[in-house]
Amino acid sequence: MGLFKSKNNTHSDEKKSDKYYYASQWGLMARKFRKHKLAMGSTFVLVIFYLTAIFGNFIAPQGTEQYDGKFVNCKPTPVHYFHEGKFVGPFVYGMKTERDPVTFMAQHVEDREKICRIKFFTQGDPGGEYKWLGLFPSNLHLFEAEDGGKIFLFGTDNMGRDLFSRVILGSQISLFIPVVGMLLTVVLGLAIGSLAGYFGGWIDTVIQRLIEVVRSFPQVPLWMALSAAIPKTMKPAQVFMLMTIILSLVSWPGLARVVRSKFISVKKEDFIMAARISGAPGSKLITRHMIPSFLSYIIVDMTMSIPSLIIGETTLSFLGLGLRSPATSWGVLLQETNKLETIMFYNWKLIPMIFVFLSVLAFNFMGDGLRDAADPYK
Amino acid sequence: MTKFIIKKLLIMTLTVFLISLAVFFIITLPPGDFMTNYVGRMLAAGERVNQEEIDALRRTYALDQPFFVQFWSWFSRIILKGDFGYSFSLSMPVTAVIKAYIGPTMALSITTMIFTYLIAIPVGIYSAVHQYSFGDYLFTTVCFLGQAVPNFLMAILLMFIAFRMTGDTMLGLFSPKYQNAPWSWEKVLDLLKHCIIPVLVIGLNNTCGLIRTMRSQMLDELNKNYVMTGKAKGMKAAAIRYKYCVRAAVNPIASSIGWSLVNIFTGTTITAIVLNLPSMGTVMYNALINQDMYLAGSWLFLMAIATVIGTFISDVLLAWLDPRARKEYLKG
Amino acid sequence: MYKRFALLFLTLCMVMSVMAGAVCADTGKEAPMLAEQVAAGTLPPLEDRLPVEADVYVETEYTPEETPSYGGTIRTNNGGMWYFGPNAEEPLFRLLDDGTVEQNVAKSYDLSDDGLVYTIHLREGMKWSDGTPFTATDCVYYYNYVLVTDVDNETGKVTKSNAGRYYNWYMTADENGVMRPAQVRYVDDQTFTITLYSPKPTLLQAIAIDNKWMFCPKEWYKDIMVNDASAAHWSGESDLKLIGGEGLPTITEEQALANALAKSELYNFENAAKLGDQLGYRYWQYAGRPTLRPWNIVSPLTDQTLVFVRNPYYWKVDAEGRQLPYIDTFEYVSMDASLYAQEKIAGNLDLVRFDAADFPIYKSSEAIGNYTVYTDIIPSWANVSFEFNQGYKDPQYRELFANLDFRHAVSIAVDREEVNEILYNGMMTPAQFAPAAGTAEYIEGGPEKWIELNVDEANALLDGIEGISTERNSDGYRTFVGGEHDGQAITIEFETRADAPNDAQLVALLAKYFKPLGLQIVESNNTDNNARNEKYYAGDVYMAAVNSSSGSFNVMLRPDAVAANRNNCAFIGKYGLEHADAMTPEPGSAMEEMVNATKALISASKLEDMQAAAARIVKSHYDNTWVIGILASNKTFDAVANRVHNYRDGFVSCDELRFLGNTRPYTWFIQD
Repeated sequence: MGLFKSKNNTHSDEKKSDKYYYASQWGLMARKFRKHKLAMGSTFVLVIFYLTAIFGNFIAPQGTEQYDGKFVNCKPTPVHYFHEGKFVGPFVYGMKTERDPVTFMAQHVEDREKICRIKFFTQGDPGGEYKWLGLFPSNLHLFEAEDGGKIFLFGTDNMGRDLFSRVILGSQISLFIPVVGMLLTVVLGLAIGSLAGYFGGWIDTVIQRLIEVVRSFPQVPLWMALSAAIPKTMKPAQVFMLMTIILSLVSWPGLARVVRSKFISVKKEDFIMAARISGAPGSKLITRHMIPSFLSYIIVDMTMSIPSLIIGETTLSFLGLGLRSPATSWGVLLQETNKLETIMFYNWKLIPMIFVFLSVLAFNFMGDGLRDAADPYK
Repeated sequence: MTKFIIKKLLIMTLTVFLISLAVFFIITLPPGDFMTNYVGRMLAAGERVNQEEIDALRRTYALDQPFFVQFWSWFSRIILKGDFGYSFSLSMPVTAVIKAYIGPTMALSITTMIFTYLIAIPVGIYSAVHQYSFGDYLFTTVCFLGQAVPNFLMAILLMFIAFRMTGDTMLGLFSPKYQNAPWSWEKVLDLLKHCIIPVLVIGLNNTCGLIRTMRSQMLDELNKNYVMTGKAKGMKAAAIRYKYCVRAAVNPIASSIGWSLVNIFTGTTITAIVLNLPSMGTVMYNALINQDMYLAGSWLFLMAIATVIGTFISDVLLAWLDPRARKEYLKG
Repeated sequence: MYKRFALLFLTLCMVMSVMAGAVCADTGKEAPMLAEQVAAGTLPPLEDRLPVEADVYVETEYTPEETPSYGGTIRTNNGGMWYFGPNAEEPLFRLLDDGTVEQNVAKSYDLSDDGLVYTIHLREGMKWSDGTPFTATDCVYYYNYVLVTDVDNETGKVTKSNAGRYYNWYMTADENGVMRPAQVRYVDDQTFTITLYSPKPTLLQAIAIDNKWMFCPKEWYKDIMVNDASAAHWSGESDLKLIGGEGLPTITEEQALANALAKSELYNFENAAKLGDQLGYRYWQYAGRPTLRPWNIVSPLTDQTLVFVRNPYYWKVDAEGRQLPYIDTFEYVSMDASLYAQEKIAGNLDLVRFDAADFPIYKSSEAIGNYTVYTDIIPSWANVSFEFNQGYKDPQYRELFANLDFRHAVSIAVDREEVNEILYNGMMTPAQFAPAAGTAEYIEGGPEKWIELNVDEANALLDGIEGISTERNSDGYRTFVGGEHDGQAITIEFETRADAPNDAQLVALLAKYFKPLGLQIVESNNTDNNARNEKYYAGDVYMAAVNSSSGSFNVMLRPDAVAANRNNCAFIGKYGLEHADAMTPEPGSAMEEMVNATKALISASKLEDMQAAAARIVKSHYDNTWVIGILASNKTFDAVANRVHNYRDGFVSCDELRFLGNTRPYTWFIQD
């Protein structure tokens, strides 16, 4: 049921080689997936997002705690190539800060006299040091302006921090919490669902009640209640772990329910019966035969559940119930936009929203493509 | 059918009990107890409190008892007296707070729900019948986009647009002018104007989901053999569609009322906070921030109960519409 | 002919008198909404509602120059009970900007020559907002049956209070040095006396600051306040003598709760203590309770918009004899603090208070929002400051905080200009925590002490402190040497407030400034102020705190935030005298001087002794920098809709003067 699939894209039009007929199930799926242009595009976008997040400290010119009194609420810096008609390569002008004598509103003006070229692969300012993947100390940054020039590609926030850097460093949390949360969900959902489906009986009944109880709670209010209990003195890393646990605590029952019903139906299939008769032990039956038979379904389901986890994390942080500044996530960045006046005066602070939007959309499309690819009847 | 309902009801009772246990666990999660907050509040107000007073109050609220004793005193009071405990931050019984807010919250939820179904079913049918048409693409695109924007951002954006267009941010349910005015035609209009943004924001997410389900259900039905048979027998396509296909496709949608309810409660919570609506969402958020856990917990409890009831209604509806489901259930 | 003229003249006279009457009703002496009720016969005429003419309160100083119009609604944010309460407060005596008091509910007072007996005179014919008479009985009843319900006559301590509180400022020493609560007695309907054991020159100020409402409607309260009629009253008087009439009935806790609930379902309280606390003390939140205020609440406390409507029996008139207030209704809307500015700009709020952090947004939107930004004076010692808990439970940290070199070092490590630029738009000035120049308590050089940024000197000072390392650990922090924390990094947790977003930002900046000193700073963010205050109350569990607008309006009259009298003062910690187990400072220590000065202030019975004790407290701050000031401006701001008239620019705003109440909102009026 691909939403954006072309009408003519049916199997009869294809020239089917031997390779097609002998391809494995996964091979077939990959083949079909590659045809889904939106899904492929989305996957590409996501790969870029995740790579950017992984190399975030290198790409971001600043750390999350480089406050600057001179450039509070500064609008995005334009990058120039020509100075007075002459090509100089990428550069920014120096900036001066003035305050309106009546309103005390800071105004950041370009100093057309001062040209600061943009250099690449430079050692950053003190304060920009980081440990890549938490292991390798470095201060290498992708770009920097010469002579103390400032490049704020997305402008700055209310403490003078570079928003571009914060968006990138925030993605390390906003993009990884959902994935880790999803993995936890898969583990919980598979384990509990297969227990219920495989053994049946009272175990099944107990698990069913449990699933019903958790699913009776509206997701966001339950997330809110649980994350309100996170002690505020906790370190960001601990909060990160707790958040993933909370997110998956709420979302495992959906998967467990599906896994359970799949188990019940698969149990009756002939190939399971055959494996059982030939003496395969229970654990092997589950991991070797039963789960692989509906693994593709689980992958699709999980991909489709990531958007709601991204939105969940963003929402909680936005409400001040999740991560807190200086720990940065997209939700934390959006806290500043909860006001009309921010949109009126500092509209660049909405930029993080675009990233939330794009990543949710991309996961949705990718999930859609995966589902089409995994569906054996289409 | 009676047997089915009785069995369902029994299970429902058990679920409610388990839910209450979970809720009480959540209530006791935050560090410290309610008393510490209560005392802090008195001090914040510039008053003096002594330790004996605190100890006495702590005993009164059974805060020094083990978990299950505390739980039982809380749960039995709900069951026997309809007493949900006390809101420390508002200095009044939780029941009174809920009474004050349940009206607007329900009104908002029901309006949104009606809106959702009114939009979703026709659009879903249209998209299925006119699969791959411009309209279909338009609706599916809007749906995808709508689901990709978090509720709170949507609310903020619409608020900004409203301000640019009308000079007002359309927060709350009434303009200042009509807040305390007696009911009149203008006041109703004012209320309706203020409802546009919340209904859009809360409803959009759910509507998108429903449209997608409705569309796929309808597509499934349209591809079934009876449609072919009907056509072969010379029935008009429209007659088959609207008399048989729609009826069959609506079944699962009708039975998803329980889930719609959960979605709408979720939606109202966040939207109410951003748009400052007089709904339980705002109350719950403030209660959580203030660690007024009896209040927050009670609302969570009520939402879960509403969902259980919604699911029950869905199940009964489904069983009534589809005897196979009933039989299946009673067997296993 | 003559007859005709006479007739014409008569007719003319009649027409004119009718017209005059009509004009009178238009520009009348009372609000149209009340005039309507009078005309309909549901409300007595104005002269029957006001006190007798000689006793009416005439508000001359604040009467507007333009002709005010009656009616209209003011809409503002609901900043909680301590925001909407003071706006309409009517104390017995009102504190003025200069620290003196003026009569308000009380008409006048006499003081006996020995300084022990205050005779308070009330206004004849004054009425509660439900029309029942307000008399001395209401004052005597409140003191003896609501505020001080029982006293241990051995120790003089108040053992029971229906309202749940009693202040030590009414305590004076008897001939044996035992501090005892004052005695309050009925004389006649317009007179009562307050008798002390030794003189207390600031008693009226204490009433104006700590016990603004020394009265409550007895008839309304007598069956909802717990009372044991069979027991003798602590004062040794019979209740007949105290309050006259038929005496008071016995009311058990159950009866009190049931009677309250019978009055209104809004009075649904869990226990009698809560009932006393809420209705006896925080009464202005409850619809239906008669008051003397200009506006009374009419909506349940749960409503998103709280509505306060004018009191038809309000006892003040302006210079022209028009009954006050001019404005009909006050509305307080609950919303998240982040929405105030946008709702002000959108014109949905008439009044919002804010500080320098938000100034540019409000100031540059004046025209769009059709409002004006006014500046208020706040008599604080510093607008932005931080302090360390001298009574912290851990001895190694306590010793560190007690070290003057440590406080000196952290003070000169703060880049005050940068804090000013980032958080307050450069609108404040760097300053130490001290009374500002021009105030009576000013000490020369106080505001300038230790505010020059000098990281090297700060490090040198820390290097000289024993018990902490000079070299840094792998994370770049100093460690403790010896003791329980040997080898551990020095980590200081700062308490911040949930509703002050600048707090968290300030701590983030402090962390940046103290890192070069080798000190690790952690933010302890509280979910709300109560969690934070709870720690203050415990006295020894928090390490440090950031504060805004801390200091004192007048140390002698209100030392609470700068002295050791209370149990929730951030730097005092457990040295606070009101702690159940207050710590005793080490003999000869600087803290001992602070505690002794506070004790001297509380027990002094002469004005000179009080002033001397207050001066000792200020000097102790100057010598010890107990609180480290960062910035000062003594300013806060109000955005007020242009349709609100007679608002006062530059008024003094503080708790003691009841914040906005100091502008006398009953003299504001609305003209669209």
